[in-house]
Amino acid sequence: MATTHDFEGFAHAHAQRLGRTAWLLTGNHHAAEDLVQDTLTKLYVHWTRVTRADDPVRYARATMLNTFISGRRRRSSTERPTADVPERLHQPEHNSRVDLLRALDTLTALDRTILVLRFFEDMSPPDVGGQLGLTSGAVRTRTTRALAKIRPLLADDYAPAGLGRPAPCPTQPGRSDA
Amino acid sequence: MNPTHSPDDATDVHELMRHATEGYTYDTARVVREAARRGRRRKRARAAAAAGLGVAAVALFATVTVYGVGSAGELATPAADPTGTASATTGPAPTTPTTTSPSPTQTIARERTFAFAPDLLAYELSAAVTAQTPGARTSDHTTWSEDIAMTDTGDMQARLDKNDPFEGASIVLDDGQGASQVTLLIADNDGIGLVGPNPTCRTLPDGTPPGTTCQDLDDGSILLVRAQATEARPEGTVVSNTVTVMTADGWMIEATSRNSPAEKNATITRTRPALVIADLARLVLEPDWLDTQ
Repeated sequence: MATTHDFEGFAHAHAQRLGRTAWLLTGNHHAAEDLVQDTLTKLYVHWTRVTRADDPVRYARATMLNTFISGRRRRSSTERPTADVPERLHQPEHNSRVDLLRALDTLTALDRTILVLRFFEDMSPPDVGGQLGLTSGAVRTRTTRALAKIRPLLADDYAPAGLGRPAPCPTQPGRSDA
Repeated sequence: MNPTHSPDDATDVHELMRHATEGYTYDTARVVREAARRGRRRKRARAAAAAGLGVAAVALFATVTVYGVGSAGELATPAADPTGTASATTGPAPTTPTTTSPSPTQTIARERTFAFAPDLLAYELSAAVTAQTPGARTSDHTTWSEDIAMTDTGDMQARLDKNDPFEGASIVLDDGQGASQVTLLIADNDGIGLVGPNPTCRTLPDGTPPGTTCQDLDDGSILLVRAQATEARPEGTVVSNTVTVMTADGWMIEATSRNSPAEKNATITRTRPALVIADLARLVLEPDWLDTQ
């Protein structure tokens, strides 16, 4: 039988991961915490269903996505993307986060969700489609369009390891940019 | 932007997301604790609300099961078929079969939204249906949702107004007597041009199909029943049972069962739909298809 103890164990085990996904979806810490809390509240209410699901983690993630997208649509009539974005600092890591969030803010809730699932949760297009009620073809199309939209907004000065692209090396002697 | 990336190569975005979230932490203990506290409160509130709705549901099931549903909104004499499948026919336009209507004080604030993501809706529909028909199997789970409707070939068919939310799911139920499609649709009934919040049987939309009967429920919802509706198609006569609840806060939940595995272009597999009116009424009234936001 499902118990409150089970819920708390599950919630503690997955809250951090849900929080990171929520942060990418919402773009700020407070909204991310609210989203996780709303999600966990719904899971608590329907805990028996969660335990019956084939994949409770997938169930939890789907609940969060549903909450996020529904919430954005309810607020869509009163909120508009802001033109005011945080100032860029002389810190590449900070700038890359600001640029990422700024770029994601230009997307619809659905497209933002698709990118987060595809590239943060490492889900395949069919899996994303299954989670959002879309075909994998629609997911691919939206992914391509969303990437094309955000790429111009991402920082040039961010080059994490393992990308296979040359990082800026301004101090390297004897090297010409030409 | 890195010009070396092809449009579909998202290695940079993948790495950027991972890197950006590496340092993200928050007080998970506090959030979990608060979620459990709110969850407990919400469950108590739901239990109290369910006690009221249960009275209406029990009355409805008794009506449908014992008397069947007649045409023109009238309750028939005790039906020969106690399963609720035999007495209803398509007939004249809907009328006003019952008398109770919600008072102004019963107006409920619009505070609910879909309880499930679309793919979970199909799962939950399957679970609810198989619970009613032990031993039956379901297949062909299909979902659709607001914003985009997909064709069978996977193309985007329509883009709907985002302010008119809907989601739906269909499954094929096989109880050993032939495949029967069961569909569930949840929608903003105001948005799709129906009656909006605080519906009554006296204010049904013009497009309500003939032969539909209506009942006002004590919680301010109305229940529409269309039993044994027939439609001639090249493949044969499609027979369907449909039950719709329109809630006081403006939502519509509709369940349909057919005598074929699909609405169109499908072989007629049985003489009657697998689910009778009482089954469909339970399906729209009992599970929590909507959830408090």
